[in-house]
Amino acid sequence: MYNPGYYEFFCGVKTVAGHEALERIPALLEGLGASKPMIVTDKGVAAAGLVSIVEEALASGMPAVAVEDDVPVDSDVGTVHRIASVYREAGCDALIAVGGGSVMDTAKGVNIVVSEEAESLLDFSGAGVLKRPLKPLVAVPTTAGTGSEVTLVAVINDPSVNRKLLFSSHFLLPDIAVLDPRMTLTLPPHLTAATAMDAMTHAVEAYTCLSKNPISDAFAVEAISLISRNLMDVVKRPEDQEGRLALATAANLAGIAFSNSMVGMVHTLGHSVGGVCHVAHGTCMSILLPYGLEYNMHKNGRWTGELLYPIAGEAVYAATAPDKRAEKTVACIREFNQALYEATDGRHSRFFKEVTDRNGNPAVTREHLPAIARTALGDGSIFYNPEEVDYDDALMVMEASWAGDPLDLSRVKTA
Amino acid sequence: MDTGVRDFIFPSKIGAGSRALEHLPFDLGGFGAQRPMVVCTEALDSKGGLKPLESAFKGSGLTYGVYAVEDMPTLETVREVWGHYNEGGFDAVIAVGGGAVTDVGKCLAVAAQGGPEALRELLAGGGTASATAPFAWVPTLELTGREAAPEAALGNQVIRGTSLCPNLIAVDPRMLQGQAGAGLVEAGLGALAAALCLYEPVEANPLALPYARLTARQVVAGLIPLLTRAEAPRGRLSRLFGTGGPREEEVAFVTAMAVSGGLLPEARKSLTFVLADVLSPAAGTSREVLAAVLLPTVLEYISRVRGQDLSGLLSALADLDLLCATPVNQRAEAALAMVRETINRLWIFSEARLPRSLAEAGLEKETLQGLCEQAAAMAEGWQRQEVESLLLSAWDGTRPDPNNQPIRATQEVS
Repeated sequence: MYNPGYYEFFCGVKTVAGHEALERIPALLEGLGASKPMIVTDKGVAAAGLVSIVEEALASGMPAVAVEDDVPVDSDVGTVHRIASVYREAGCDALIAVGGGSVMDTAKGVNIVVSEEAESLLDFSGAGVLKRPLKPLVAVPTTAGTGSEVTLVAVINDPSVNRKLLFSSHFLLPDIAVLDPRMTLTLPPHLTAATAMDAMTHAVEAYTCLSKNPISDAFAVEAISLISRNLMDVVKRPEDQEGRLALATAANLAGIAFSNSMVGMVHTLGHSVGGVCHVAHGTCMSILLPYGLEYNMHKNGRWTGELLYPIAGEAVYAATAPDKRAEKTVACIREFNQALYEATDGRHSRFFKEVTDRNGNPAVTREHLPAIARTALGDGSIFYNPEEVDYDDALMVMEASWAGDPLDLSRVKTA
Repeated sequence: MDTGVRDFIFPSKIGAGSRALEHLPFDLGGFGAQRPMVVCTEALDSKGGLKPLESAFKGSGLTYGVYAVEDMPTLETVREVWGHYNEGGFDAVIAVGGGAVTDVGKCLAVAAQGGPEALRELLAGGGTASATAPFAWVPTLELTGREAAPEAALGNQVIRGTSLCPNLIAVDPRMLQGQAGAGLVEAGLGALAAALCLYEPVEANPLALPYARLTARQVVAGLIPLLTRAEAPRGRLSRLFGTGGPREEEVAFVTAMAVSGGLLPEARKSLTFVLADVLSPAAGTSREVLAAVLLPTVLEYISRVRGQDLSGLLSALADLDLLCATPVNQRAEAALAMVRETINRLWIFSEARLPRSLAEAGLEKETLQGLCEQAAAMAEGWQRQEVESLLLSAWDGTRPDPNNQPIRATQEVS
């Protein structure tokens, strides 16, 4: 077991997981002294009928006083202030965020404004500014991937200065995360695959990056094992509620793991591809994961090799020589991506050349790669990568992952 | 449909490793605290055990006061310390040590928020504490395993509530010096039982499993080396630089022990702990030790008699190579053998004072049979004959025989 010199671990969110877990929300909110919750969500979630399921679950115990479904894809300060006004006018005393990262961030921002009775959210940006608990916040994730229901940060856009503001505090953690398989039941197979591979990447990078620790390792292994055992079944049989619950649980555990140990170059490059070419985060993660592991193998091969057990199972682990386990882990992830590609009729991309935009045009061209590599060098997660990444390395990894070729290990620096 | 809704929370922030104490002032500041009160034992204070804390707070802008508590604190003790807390303008609590010290620390944190009268009412009614002053815990090797649990006890009165879990836990190697006492054996066994009894249900709570695996691995791997470690030589400069190396193993073990406190609410639902609760008053042995004595028998009954798959148990105890090398249908047995071996080896360290069976715990066979009814009534999903058979096996330390049981298969039970 790896023990770093010093580490921190924290997850103050109460997680409630299970079929019909949503029906527990009224009792949970009552326990927190709340009685008039507001639902914060986005149009997509509402159109998919998920808000109706939540409202129905609340109806008999504690109906929602207000529903705000106008959260944009990138949460912004104006939206936060507008929803905070509605919250005050309706006399609400708790928030239920139903959706993905943007919805969670918006709800956290609203919570700051209404709890601190603030004129402006901007007064609270930065780390550790909040000094006391906020109003009760329940997070209901609608994808099994991001893990944003267990993170203590919110990123909110300030269009007036064209900047993304970071808010970070223990008090921003939701009080409760509710994982109910009905929230992901309608997710199509290729999105199920992409979001689950996002969670898988959170867990794998948490286990293999520089700031790993024994507690986050335990969460990472559990998450990887759940995804490996359940993802293919759910992609082939989307109505599998047990599998859906397992994936939601895995995403939650992976979120806890990476929140406490950070991530590495897969996220570094993935953020950059998302920024430059607007490719979905989960797609970037599933494509880049084997390349990131390959690139770092000379530094963290032992840890990558240990992951062969939860990814491929005991037979493969035992049959593989210890010094070959890291390579086998990478090979298994590639095989996994290939199997997902076949199970989704080609909608789960294996490399960037395959990714298309809404009009069917290539989303990432070879010409994009230098810009992606340049942008990546400014990403914060690069500091936690085991090997130091420079422009040439980033470009090399992007070229290989664009074409779908394995990394040329002879070009990877090993100093 | 069984909705199978599970929940779990472990709300403490853990900082573990070299100079963990230096992070405390900053973290307490995050809760708005500026003047914490330290609660510890007289012995720790008088032997200079707080020196690392003093050095950590130097120049931080935070100042602290110290209150040394007695061995068996009462409500009056808390009232007294609350008086000092109030008069001194303190705004947070740091408990240094374990057991009674953390109980007083937690109770003080409750009183600091609502006054000693609110604490008295909570204790009298067995209530749930909803809010406390910021509360940090600095473990030493004086552990019980309950320090991070959402509960506090004064005498035989207990209060519960998630808010009783420490906000901050700082595991610093400088505080883990000295020889581990016999109390650590009991604490380790209790932690092992709290972790592994999570495997009793057909579907273990996946939200708690990472904590359970971490705890079980560390207790099995770390407790005996800690008990047998030689005291580091104390040289002239040891006062300044500490003794021994970085003590990574000790930090890992104590961190796992801290985590185990968070598992207790989940563990209390298990048959192992329900039976331990019933038997403890009659045996005069702690519930934690009885839980460890009962654990292998309960798990073995579940595996051999009820036919439940407990192969996953080995993944909580063994390294990957041993796990893979063990055929699936041998894993439960291998895991139980490891648990029994750990208990048996600890028996030697306790100079034969630690029980390995209910008989050694001082329970008469007749007393046991008399308690079966009560135990079965409290053990949901278990029939009286099953409980009796199981307890009799645990009494003399024999393995439950699947061919000689009132109930043989899971289907019959359900």
